[in-house]
Amino acid sequence: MTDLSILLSAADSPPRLHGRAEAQDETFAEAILRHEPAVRRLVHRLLGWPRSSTDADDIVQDVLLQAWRHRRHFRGDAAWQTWLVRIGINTTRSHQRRQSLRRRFFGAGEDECGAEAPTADTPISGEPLDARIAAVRSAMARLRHADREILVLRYLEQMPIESLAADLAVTRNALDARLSRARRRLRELLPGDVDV
Amino acid sequence: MSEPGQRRDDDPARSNCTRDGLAGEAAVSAHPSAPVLAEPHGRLAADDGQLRSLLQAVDRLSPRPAATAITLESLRRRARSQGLRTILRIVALACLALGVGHLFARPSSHASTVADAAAQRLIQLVRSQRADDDTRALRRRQAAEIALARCAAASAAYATQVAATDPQAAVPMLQRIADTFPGTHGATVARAHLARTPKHPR
Repeated sequence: MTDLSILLSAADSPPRLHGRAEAQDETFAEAILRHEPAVRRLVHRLLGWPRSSTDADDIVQDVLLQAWRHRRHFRGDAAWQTWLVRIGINTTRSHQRRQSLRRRFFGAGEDECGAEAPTADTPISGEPLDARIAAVRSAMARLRHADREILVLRYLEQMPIESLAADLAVTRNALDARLSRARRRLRELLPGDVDV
Repeated sequence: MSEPGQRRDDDPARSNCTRDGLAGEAAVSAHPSAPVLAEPHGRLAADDGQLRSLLQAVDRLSPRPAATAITLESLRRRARSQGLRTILRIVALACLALGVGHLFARPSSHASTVADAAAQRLIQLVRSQRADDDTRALRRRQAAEIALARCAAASAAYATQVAATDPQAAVPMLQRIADTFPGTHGATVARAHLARTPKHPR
């Protein structure tokens, strides 16, 4: 089942918030917390399916916190999910940028994306893993964040092209070029016998 | 965007297919409510579809992230801790400025400007939190007050050192400390020194 395409198109308009500030806050909190699993899934994918959920936990909390802090600015002309997803993409990007800077100054030798890159023969969910899938997972984890982000949003979240271009603030042509580059880089990270 | 049931030949989005097989609004969706999209064709479609299904398989086989219980209260706690982190940053900035620029010793220096800004921010923070009486505001205020008091004390200690060798040179520093940090021990020390310092050198 798609995630974003459904959610972006769904009639998921926020409820009109009326009444006292406290009641409004409660309603708002309920609304954003309801979408927490979808935000978590998106963040998990954007990070390259890391085994540890610490980073994802942190980012998800930050996303919800930012939404909570800016609740007064939420005008209600976008769906909750769309709004949270945009915050999620930006927060994950900032997190990865900070991690990358931290590694540059304090550590070396790790992958740029910061995700724990699993080895190709690592089983993911306990069952023996198809070598091809393991290789793709490992390559995705080793990709630069910008490349992984565009592949995840395009192929897993199935974001419509126009909305993806708008979110990344690029033109259609630039988006096509970025997708093409991301695919090429992914291909370069894969063993010769795996073709995508 | 393509309409459901629209013939592929009529679909304007198809003319936008790239060599990667992407088309305008061309995210292929399995969901019935999603728009029918222009599919890439031929080898491009195969490539695009292959990558998508591989990524979906990886995603399916990856462990689901365990959901931690996030509540309104946990969000509030996180907001509080971030607030404290902000305070610590301000304190660190103030301390750095103190160490580098001897705060008021060289009023025209950049470090002094930074220290001034940090002090002003702390004062503003203390004032803005006075009206609130919830725990978070109280903690912020306490942290800001402590930082402010330390700024004042460190500045006063430095000015006192200067006063021991050159009392006249210390006068503007002491005056500034007394004016900038009213109500702190540092300001009291500064005022006491000022009172003892002769107005005009002999």
